[in-house]
Amino acid sequence: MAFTKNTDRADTSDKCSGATNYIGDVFFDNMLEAVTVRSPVRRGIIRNIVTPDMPKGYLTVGVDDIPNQNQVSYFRDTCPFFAPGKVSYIGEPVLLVAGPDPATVRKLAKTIHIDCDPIQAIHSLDEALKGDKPPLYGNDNVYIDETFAYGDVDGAFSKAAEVFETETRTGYQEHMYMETQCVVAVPNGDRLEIHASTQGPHALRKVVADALGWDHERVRVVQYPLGGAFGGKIELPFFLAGQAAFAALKANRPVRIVYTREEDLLTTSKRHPSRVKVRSALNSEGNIIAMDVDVVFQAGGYAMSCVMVLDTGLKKATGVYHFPSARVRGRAMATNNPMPGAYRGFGAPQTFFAIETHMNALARRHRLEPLKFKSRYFISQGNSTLTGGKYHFPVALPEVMQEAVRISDYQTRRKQVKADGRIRRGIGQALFNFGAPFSLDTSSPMPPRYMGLLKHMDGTVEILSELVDMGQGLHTALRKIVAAALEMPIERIIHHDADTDCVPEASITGASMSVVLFGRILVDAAEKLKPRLHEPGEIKVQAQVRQPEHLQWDAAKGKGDPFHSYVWGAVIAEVEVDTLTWQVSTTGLWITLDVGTAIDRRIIRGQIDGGVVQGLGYALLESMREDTMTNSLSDYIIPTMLDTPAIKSTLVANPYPPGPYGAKCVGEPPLVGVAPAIADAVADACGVEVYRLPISPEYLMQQMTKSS
Amino acid sequence: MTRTISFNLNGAPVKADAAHETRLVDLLRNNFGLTGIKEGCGEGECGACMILLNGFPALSCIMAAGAVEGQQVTTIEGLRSSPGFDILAQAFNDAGAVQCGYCTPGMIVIAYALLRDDPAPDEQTIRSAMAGNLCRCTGYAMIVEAVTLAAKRRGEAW
Amino acid sequence: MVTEAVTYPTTPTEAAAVKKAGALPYAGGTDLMIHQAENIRNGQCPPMVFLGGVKAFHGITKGNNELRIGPLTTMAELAASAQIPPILSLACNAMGSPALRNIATLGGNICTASPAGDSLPALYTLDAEVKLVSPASVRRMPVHRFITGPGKTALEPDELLAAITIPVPAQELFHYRKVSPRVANAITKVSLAVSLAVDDEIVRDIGIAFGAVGPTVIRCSPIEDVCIGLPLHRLYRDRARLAAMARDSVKPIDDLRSTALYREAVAANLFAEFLETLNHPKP
Repeated sequence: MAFTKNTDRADTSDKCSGATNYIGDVFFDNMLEAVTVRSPVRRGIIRNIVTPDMPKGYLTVGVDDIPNQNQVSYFRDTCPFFAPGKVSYIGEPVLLVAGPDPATVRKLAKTIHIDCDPIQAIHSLDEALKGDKPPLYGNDNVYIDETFAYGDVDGAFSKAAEVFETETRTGYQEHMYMETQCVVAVPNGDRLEIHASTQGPHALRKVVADALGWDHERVRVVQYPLGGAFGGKIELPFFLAGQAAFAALKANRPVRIVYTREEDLLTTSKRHPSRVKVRSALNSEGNIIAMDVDVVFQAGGYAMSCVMVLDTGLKKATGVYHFPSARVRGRAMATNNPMPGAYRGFGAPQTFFAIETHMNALARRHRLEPLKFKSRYFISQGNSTLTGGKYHFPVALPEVMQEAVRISDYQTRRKQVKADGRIRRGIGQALFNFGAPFSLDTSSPMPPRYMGLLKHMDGTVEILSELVDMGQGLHTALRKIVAAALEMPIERIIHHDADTDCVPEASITGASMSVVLFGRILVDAAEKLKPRLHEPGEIKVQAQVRQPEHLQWDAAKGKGDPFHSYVWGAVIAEVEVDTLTWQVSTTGLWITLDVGTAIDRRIIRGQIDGGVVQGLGYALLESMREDTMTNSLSDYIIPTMLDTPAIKSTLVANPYPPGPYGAKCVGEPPLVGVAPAIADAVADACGVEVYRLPISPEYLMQQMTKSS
Repeated sequence: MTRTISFNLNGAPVKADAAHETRLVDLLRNNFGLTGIKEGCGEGECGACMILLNGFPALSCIMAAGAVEGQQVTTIEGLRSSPGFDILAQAFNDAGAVQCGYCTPGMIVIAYALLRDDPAPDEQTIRSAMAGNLCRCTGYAMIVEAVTLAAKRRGEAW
Repeated sequence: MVTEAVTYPTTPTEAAAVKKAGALPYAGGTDLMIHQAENIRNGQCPPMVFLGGVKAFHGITKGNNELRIGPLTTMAELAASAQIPPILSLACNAMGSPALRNIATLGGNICTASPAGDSLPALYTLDAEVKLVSPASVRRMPVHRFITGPGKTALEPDELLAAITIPVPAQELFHYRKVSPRVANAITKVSLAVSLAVDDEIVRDIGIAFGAVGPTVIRCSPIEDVCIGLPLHRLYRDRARLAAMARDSVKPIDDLRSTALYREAVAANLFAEFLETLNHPKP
């Protein structure tokens, strides 16, 4: 099956004309606006909350108004909707104020006084590790501490001729979806509707129902078009929806929470700040005999999904390499900061920055051509994974690297003169892979999940899935896959935004699993429907979600194949550094990816361009202090049209047999390699290693001044 | 204090009752239901709330309603039926310039004004003109290509 | 009491009177609306007086001895104007985004009195003055005296900025550079404006001002004094010493956007960069 033609997306026309209704564009009758009253301190015990008399029609909503449990049930660890008598991070929600007039609500919210006995707060990853403040979680502030290893790492280090160590640090990255968080809860008879900008409609339904102590069926989640998400609309909507639900039930009216940009920047999840130490042991021939990686994430006041993000990042922490022995340890630390969470790349941007920076610095130290040096350790088909699983399918890494080298004219550019007056030029590269989806335990049965197809009376076929098109083009890709399987024109295939009353539970949309896993299940469903297409009337078929047969994963032991499939990628970056201002400008970016079969090249290019530019922002611009988040877009700087160079991207076709028509994923990978490639280019240009993101002019000045 | 503000909106004279300091974006969205205008930042940094004020691109989230008394305001809704809009929307479709779509109306509004004033902008001109419109999905190149394509197909649209 | 009738004044004194009564003067609104955002959301914003209807606040006119710029002239108008010294056009064009420049005004940029205000270093080097009107009086002062601190000006409660004047002929050689965290649409981290008048390769007059490296824009009079009367090649030759003087004259701080060390170093480097250009002065 060749997917040679690009398909027009069904949503473009309304998005251009402004006719698309995002949840913030919808007004419900008698709707109340709610504003969150937050903790003014980082950490403390709430002694008293002084609330003014509420005018008629206005109310406060807090812990006491939660019918069942003050816990977001999606998370394994404690994670409350409202501060449970104690405050664990600055800005933690304490109350809602709701009422008909937004200005009055805000005025009332401002007069509420939260009286706290402060406790010494933990501001940063370093403070959490140091442990000289009262611990916030357990007795050591560690939410999770896990290790993956194979071979005799300690033995290798004890006999090493050389040990090379690097320490990289990365900061927060804000999703900066253009549409801020927004949820409306609407009571409807003995049910409750949640209208939301969410990546996980069914997950959201469960969270709300569990908090209310209701059967899940009594809650209906209607998902609206998302104004961007990038992982940032998985966790936060849980909180907003629960809080709005409590208020809606108390007031018996629809209640809306919409965040201002300031509130969104200050309180919602971000990419986890990290510190990663990488140590390599080399023998006397200069070959790496062991790699030891120690990853620490700063994870905020409650664990939220840090366990999954860290775990996924750790499994990728040895990069595209198979070393004779390796160990990866990771910890996520509790601090009194707002919680970081899921963000495009899911732990991998931090660990790939660490391993690629280490490998590039090591090559420079040994005066070796870095790609040649790194290729000694390339993973190849049949190699074992860090977790003792196997790379089952062809590894297109050499092809991907050669293609990126070709399109960027890398070898010629490397020979260019570095210095030109005050401008220095450099070229850099990074290699990466991206395993996705992450495997579920294969020894126990998966919870039953389904993808459905519904043939309507008029012959059109509707995809029944809760998978969310957050702008990435997923619905178009899935429609295309179903159209191919049914041999029908794509115009006859429909995929609506999710309504949990109408579509079965499958999964949150994220972790790059939708096309590669659920696309395949839709092919299964299509195979069931195809012979019955000619039958009159409505026909509904379902296919159960299953993991591919090659997979073995023991979740308890952390052994086996951690991911279903692997995308392989290479990024080449060229930069100019102005030595008067230490500003870096990226003059060229080239990226080659193996995404298996390309389902729609135009959509894939959109994912690549967008991911690369987010990676560029992560590399050079986007920055917040670890304990003080930036409150405005004039200070949280993302790339504009003038900050983005031409991006040249190509694909290497290496179909993944279990994927739909051989497709893998494409959403997350393009971001992952950009920062290490730019860092390598800056190091090449300036003659100093770059161990921090973002590579701010202030940091670069410091590095260059130190070295000179 | 609620007052009556009179101005020309999308070609027609209108009156609205609102406090003068009401943000224009709120006036247009709440009083007139023009929800094609989006709020992305509330501080004039992102361009999602872009309108035309007397024909020039302007940011409705940092303008007071009282400031448009007697002025002409054009929103994405007012451009919808123009030939220039059709060309831009088709070009945005063909170039794959739309992902989540939240920034798109603002992008179209400013591109509309650009192409009205400059029949054949080069890439640098487009990037400079639209540098105040943030997009987090596309990485911009496909938007620039869309505007270039629309300029090629402009015909008599402007 | 601010009444409906005077929300849209048509004369400067009328406008000043409404301001005196407690109204917030609204020029382009681009800073005011952000500063008042929370009050607006809470329904607690003071009344506004919209200055757009005051004809005298608009336009650029050239007199015998001075150029007069109306405070409501937008940054976009200034960026495109051939009537004003090019350095002011460049500086106004470096502010924010195109749509912002369409509404933001020069008067607003001055009265906001941010040390990072993009028009200010250029105005300082051009020896610009401001004209202030109240219902009862008119006074003038240099812009560097008008701005007294971050966000602070010499405006009395009943006064409005009525005009900006620049002596003519102004200097004829200019240098402007803005360093900001990204290419476009960003707040200044450090900026340098230099306006220069030269007779026969000898510096007759020079204005040097740095933005965003102190509580106000910093005009470097001691360096100017050293430079006046010297041939350009001497400035070039002494560039290391002069750049060191520049480094000493700035008073930056560490903040969210940058560090004092960085700003100091860049200020010196920007000045050195300007002096480098004097090696081969353009005819």
